[in-house]
Amino acid sequence: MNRLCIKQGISILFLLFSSIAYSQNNSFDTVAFYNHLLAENLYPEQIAFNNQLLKDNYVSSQQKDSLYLNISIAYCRLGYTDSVNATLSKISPIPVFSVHASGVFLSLLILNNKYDKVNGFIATSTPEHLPTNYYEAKISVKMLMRQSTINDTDINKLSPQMLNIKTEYEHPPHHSAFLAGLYSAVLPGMGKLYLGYGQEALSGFVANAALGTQAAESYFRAGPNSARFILSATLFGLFYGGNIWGSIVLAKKQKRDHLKQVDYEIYNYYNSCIGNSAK
Amino acid sequence: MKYIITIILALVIAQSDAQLADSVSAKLLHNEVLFWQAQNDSVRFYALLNKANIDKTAEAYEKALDELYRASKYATTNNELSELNYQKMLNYFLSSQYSFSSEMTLDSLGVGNHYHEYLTMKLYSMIEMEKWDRCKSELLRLCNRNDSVKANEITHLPISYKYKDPEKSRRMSAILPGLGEIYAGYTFKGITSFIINGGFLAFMGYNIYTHYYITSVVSGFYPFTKFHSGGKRLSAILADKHNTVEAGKLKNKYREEMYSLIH
Repeated sequence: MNRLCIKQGISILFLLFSSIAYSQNNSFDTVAFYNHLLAENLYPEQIAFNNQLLKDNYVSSQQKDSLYLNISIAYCRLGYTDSVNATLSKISPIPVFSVHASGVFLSLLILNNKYDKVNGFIATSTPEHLPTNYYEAKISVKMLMRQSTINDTDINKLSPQMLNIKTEYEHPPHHSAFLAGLYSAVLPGMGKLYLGYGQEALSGFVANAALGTQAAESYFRAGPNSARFILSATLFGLFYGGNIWGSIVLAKKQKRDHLKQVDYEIYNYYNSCIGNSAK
Repeated sequence: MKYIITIILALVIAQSDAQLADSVSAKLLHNEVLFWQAQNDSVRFYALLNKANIDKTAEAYEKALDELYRASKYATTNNELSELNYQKMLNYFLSSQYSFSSEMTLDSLGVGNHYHEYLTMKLYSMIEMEKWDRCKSELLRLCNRNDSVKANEITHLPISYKYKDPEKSRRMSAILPGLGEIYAGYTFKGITSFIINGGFLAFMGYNIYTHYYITSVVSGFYPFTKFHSGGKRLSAILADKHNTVEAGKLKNKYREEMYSLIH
């Protein structure tokens, strides 16, 4: 959904509720003025304008929800996360929005980690009010809550970008931390090579080989009870153990990083949905 | 009890901040409506100028500059253009964009009643941009011709400081570990670096002498190369640090002269 859609959605909203006017002056074109605020990216003014409309006694709860949504969008563009959260919480539990506004609402809820509200909104909304991306929102929430998406096979409802994210989520790195550690114990650096880090594997191998050779040299030349051997063997032992530990940690980190990357791509997707740059 | 008071205070502060933000937004909206309903460019210009002032008061200088650039389309008279330039300079200065504020020159209309502010901004920006020559001639121009002591003081202000070239410092450390640090003015760090590097080289030599060739490479030569390259980087950093400190000292000298002349 692009910015034009949002603009049109808000324009439709005001056309529907044209009885609300900022000014007592009848010539004041509320819709045109709000479009002007949108076109000029005047977010604080948009917030103030919507707040002004909220003070009107004739505003129904449905209209209030739409105004709070507008305020949330403006806060989101300003990057005031706390204010977005506070404003979103003022929207009624079962709001009724236009299709475009519903899409933006779902995006904002996902960006602000309100996953229960996303599911609740989708469950309670009538099909004609649901945005086209509601299925994407459901899948996104599942991915963000680390639930399985294997059974969600209706891929025709997903955009190519979301389909890529889903595929990426369903194919995490399959490397086992135990195996990575074991390989590193057999041959230093092999665990990291197994995880796909060639550069680190090579440097790990070289460091261990050098320290191991040094310890061997000390053993053969100075004997097993010499201080030189004890020191060099301890140093080698520390590096050897550290390398195994490093491989195990790296395997776990790889999985965490993969999920973080998926989260980042989801947030990026929804940020672009509401016209923001990457979070 | 302490926690409860802290929480209450935090809530009160948050509430007052929110109210302040709301009032700023309301004022901005009011002026935007004035702009929207205006029948001529002059009203539009002053509505946007008011918005820029509100943003400036709220310390949103970048946003104030945006409003001023919007206003520039509606500035028609010389007075408006001069006021616009002054406001732009002020906001550039307040947002620490000294490269812009040092290059701006206002005419007598633009300076108007803000002569002292204009001078302060201009000179301060020149000092921040290290334009010592221009700043010195400006200070001399301001100085009372009868005050020979002051004029002499300004004439003798240095127009450069003892600059240490980071690249030269790095090269010196490459030739002899520690030399670059000493050149940058950090003698103790230079001596320490020399001892550490020398220690590793000595350890390498001792191991070669006692026929522990592998140990000489692993525990002597390899750490030496690491410390050597680290020392080179450190030298360049220290030279940069020296330059920053010296520039700061010179800036303080110029600022003192500036304040004594303006106030």
